[in-house]
Amino acid sequence: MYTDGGEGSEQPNRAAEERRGTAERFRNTDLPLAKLWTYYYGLGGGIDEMSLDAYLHEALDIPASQVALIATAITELTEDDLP
Amino acid sequence: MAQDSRLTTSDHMQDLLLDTPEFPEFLLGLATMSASLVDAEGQVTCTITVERDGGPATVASSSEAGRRLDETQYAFHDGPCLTAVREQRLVWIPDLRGDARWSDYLEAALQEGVRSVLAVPIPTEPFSRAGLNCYASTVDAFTEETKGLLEQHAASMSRVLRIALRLHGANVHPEHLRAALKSRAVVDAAVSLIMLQQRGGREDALAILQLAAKSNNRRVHDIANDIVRGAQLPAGRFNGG
Repeated sequence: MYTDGGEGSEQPNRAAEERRGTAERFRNTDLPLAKLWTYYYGLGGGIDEMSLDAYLHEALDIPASQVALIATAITELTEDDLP
Repeated sequence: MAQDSRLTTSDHMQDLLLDTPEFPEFLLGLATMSASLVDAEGQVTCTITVERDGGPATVASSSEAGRRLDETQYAFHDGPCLTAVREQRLVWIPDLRGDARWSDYLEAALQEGVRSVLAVPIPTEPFSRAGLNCYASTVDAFTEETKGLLEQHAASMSRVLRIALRLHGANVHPEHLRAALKSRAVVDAAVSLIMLQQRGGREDALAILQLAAKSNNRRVHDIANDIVRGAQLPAGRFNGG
């Protein structure tokens, strides 16, 4: 879907960056995949666990909106200072 | 005859699996079933221990004394049943007093009135291990015959236990699942409200929720909860991209 640049707009670049950044953040935590998927589902997430796994290992592109939800899920699961 | 009774037991186990909503309850049913298989008089206590990689151990016991005995093994990090579970081999102790292994644990077991123990491994799957443990208050309570019977029983339990472990997803704790279901329901309701109000799409509505959570340092679920309860939509209206 998105390619790195090419279209002239900088949106795709930023999206690709966020995609990689979120997957990398996950790998730096010790969150179990099943726990992340379950929480992400609770936030309204729309992709299945296998696709999530593939995305986190940079083997699958998923929509930017889903990346944002995954990033939110990681944040909420790892930050204890949220009330 | 023997064939028939085994078939019935295996049917019972499947029924048990279908009838019990929670894993510990299912395991308790298996332990009780095993105890009455070994000794219909109720003189034998059976416990079943399941250990999962990265998860807690589950122990079910057909009696209160059995539960204490299994907990004692965990306190000592060792014992005949833990050996059967972790090394997947049969442990047979005809008389506890004459046995030199696991001395600390054996002392505690003798105090509970146990004199003989038989622990049989139950093969499950690569990520978990299980065992069936039988305690009796008399010396030599278990014979070659009981040993054979229990080994067969463990083999048929192995099948149903594997299914149970799949069914009760070894990786996710039930409270996380319940929390996710609750959260999802609230988020979906808030998304519907935001969509109606903004005449927007689902993705935009989710983005609004996330933005509001981030800028208020709160959880998405809590923001959604407020919206469902009639709070104003968070500021920062999206224009649809």
